[in-house]
Amino acid sequence: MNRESKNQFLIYLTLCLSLLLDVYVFPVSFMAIKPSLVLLALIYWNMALPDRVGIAAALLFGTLIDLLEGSLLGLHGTLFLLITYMCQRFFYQFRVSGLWQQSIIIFFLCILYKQILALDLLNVNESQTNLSDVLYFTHSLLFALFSALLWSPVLLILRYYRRRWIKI
Amino acid sequence: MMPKREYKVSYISSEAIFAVPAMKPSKVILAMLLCFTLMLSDIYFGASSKIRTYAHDVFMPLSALVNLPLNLISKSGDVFKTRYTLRKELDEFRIENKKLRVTNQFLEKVSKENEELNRLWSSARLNLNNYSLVKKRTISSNEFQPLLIVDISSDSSIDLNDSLITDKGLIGRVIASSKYSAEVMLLHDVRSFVPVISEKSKLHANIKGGGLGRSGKLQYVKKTAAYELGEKVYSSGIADTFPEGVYVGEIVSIKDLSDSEFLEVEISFLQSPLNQDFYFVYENE
Repeated sequence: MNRESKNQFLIYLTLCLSLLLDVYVFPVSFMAIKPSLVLLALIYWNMALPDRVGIAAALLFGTLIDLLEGSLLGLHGTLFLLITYMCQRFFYQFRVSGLWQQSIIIFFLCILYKQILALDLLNVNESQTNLSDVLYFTHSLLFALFSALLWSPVLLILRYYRRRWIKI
Repeated sequence: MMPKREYKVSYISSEAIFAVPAMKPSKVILAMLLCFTLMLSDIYFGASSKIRTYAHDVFMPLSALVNLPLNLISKSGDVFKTRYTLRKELDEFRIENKKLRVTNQFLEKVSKENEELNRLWSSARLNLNNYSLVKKRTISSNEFQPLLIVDISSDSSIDLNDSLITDKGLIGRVIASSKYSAEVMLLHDVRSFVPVISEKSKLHANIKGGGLGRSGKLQYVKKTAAYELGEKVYSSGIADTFPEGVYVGEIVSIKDLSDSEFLEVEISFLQSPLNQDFYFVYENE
């Protein structure tokens, strides 16, 4: 296996592990607010090695999540793609920001992510276009908060992993 | 030589600019179009339901891996114990082992499962030939469209719209099935509608799901309807999707809002489907 393939394998390995942790069944109260590790890992790799992760990873893992979670096919793919593009477009600015600044960006990104997931694309509610209610919005805030708090450990762990195993 | 994509050449000085270019917008737009096509195919043709159960069959070996982290965490506690504590524990285990040699250590687990199965079987009040037993594999964390995946045997006759029942009542219905797994739409799903009849007032209505951890709502209930708090509702069997007389939930809230022409009646479903491992599939006649 050449170096490039090995690097790709190691990056996709972390994404696969994150996916496995994401699909694990937790209590209902926690399931709604648990952070999406795939999303955080994808953001990290887009920020750290933007030329190694791209459209393919976003589409692949987005579709896998759609299939495993039961959401509309292509919805997570679209979201991951947009987030990937934004990360790649602004990774110079994002990478040099402090950890707390990055966490704030992750916080707002995650709220947006959750709210888009609540779009009523199947038209189950005739009166409104969004399924979000007070409970869902609270869950979105908690989800974003936990994701923002988890960003620092995720970044530090993946940075250590990258420096230790991925040779450019 | 460095790959061309890792640098650009300045038009002014002809020097290499060592910058990683962002993704090409044209590629992003193409990928977005692909995603939109997938979404439209799912909305209009239900593509995901057709693919998903087969995808779950493919990922079946991976579901065992999902449990690996928790097993590792539960066993990692031993790493931090001192040698003295471990020795003490070992002695205790030796004594216990002598006691347990006669009895099978799995007996308790087996009897518990047996008890659960017996309870489930004794709750079968409908045509007994139409029941088949399934086991939970996974449940998704999607709040509005929670999805329950159950293991089925390859020779089972489970069909679309068959009902999923436990000893406590109705859980959902099968919306897709493949060789080894079936996909169940839970009552909590926002797309779910169940025709029901109330216990005391004998009124017919439809319950619409509200999402995981939320109550369901009775649809289009007239303001003159005489529902009572705590009243139980059962499946009415209308439309032949669900069997008649299976417990669905109970009324937890009745609101008469002045700006609505209907009564807002909330139903609490029987329990969280996460707490159960075995289910009955009732094959519709």
